[in-house]
Amino acid sequence: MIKGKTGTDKVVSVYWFAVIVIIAGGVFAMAYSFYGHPYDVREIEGDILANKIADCISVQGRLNEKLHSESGGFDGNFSDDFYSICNFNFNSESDYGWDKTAQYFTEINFYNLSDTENSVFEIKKGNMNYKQDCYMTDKKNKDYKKFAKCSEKRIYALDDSGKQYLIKILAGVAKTEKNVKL
Amino acid sequence: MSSYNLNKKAQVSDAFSWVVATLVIIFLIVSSIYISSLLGKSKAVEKEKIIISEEDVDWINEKNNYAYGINDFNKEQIESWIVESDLDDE
Repeated sequence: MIKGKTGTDKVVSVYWFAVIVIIAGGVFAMAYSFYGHPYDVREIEGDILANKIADCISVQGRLNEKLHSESGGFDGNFSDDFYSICNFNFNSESDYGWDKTAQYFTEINFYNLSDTENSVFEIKKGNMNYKQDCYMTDKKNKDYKKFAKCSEKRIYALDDSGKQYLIKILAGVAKTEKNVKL
Repeated sequence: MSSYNLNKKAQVSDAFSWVVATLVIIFLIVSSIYISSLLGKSKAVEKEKIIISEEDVDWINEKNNYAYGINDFNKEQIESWIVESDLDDE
C-alpha cells in the first residue's frame, strides 16, 4: 500500500496536515485574543463601593450616629476612623504593590439645603491622586481605559435633630493592571 | 506526448483550486482572529446592563425614601439636586 503511494498522494497528505495545523493555530489564536483581555469591572466595583459608603453614612434615613459630636455638628473622628467604622480596607490586595498604594479613593461631602456649593463637612480617604481621572471623559483618548473609574451617588439624610443634609459620595477604583490589558 | 501535456494541464487546474481553498481558509481564520480580538477588547461589565430582576430596586432611592418618610420638606429641591451629577458620562 505504502509502496504504491504516488508522489501526488504524499503532497496531498502534507497539505492536509498543514491545513489542520493552520486551523488549530487559528482556533488557539482566537481563544487567546478573546480570553487574553480581562473583564473591566471597575465601573460596577466603584458603584458597589459608593453604595456601601452610602449604607454606612445613612441608616434608615438618618445620619450615622457616630458622625455627630457631643458638642453638636459633625465629629472629625469619624473621618479619622472611617475605615474601622465603615469596615473598609482600601489596601486589601497585595498584587502589584497595591497594599502600599491604595487603588481606591472616596470623597464624601455634606451640604446644607441652603448652600449646595460649600460643604459643611467632608471626608477624603484613599489615594486622592485618582480623583482627577473621574473627569477624563474623552473616550477617544488612547489612555482612557487606563484612567480610574468613578461613581457618584447623592443621597438625602437627616441628623438626630431633624436637620436636613444633602450628601455627595464620589468613589473611584484604579486597579488598571487587573482590568485592562496594558 | 500529447496525452502527457493534457495531464499536466489538469494538474495545474487542480493545484489552483487547492491554492484558492487554502487562501479562503486563511482569510476566514485571520478575520475570525481579528473579530475575537475586537470582542475581547470591548469586554466590560457595565452597571446599566446588569438587571437582576424586574423587582430590582435602586439602593440609593430606597435610602432617600426612608429619609423622605421622616421629613419630605423641600422634596422637589432635594430631588433636583440628587439627579444632578458632576461626572459627565452619568
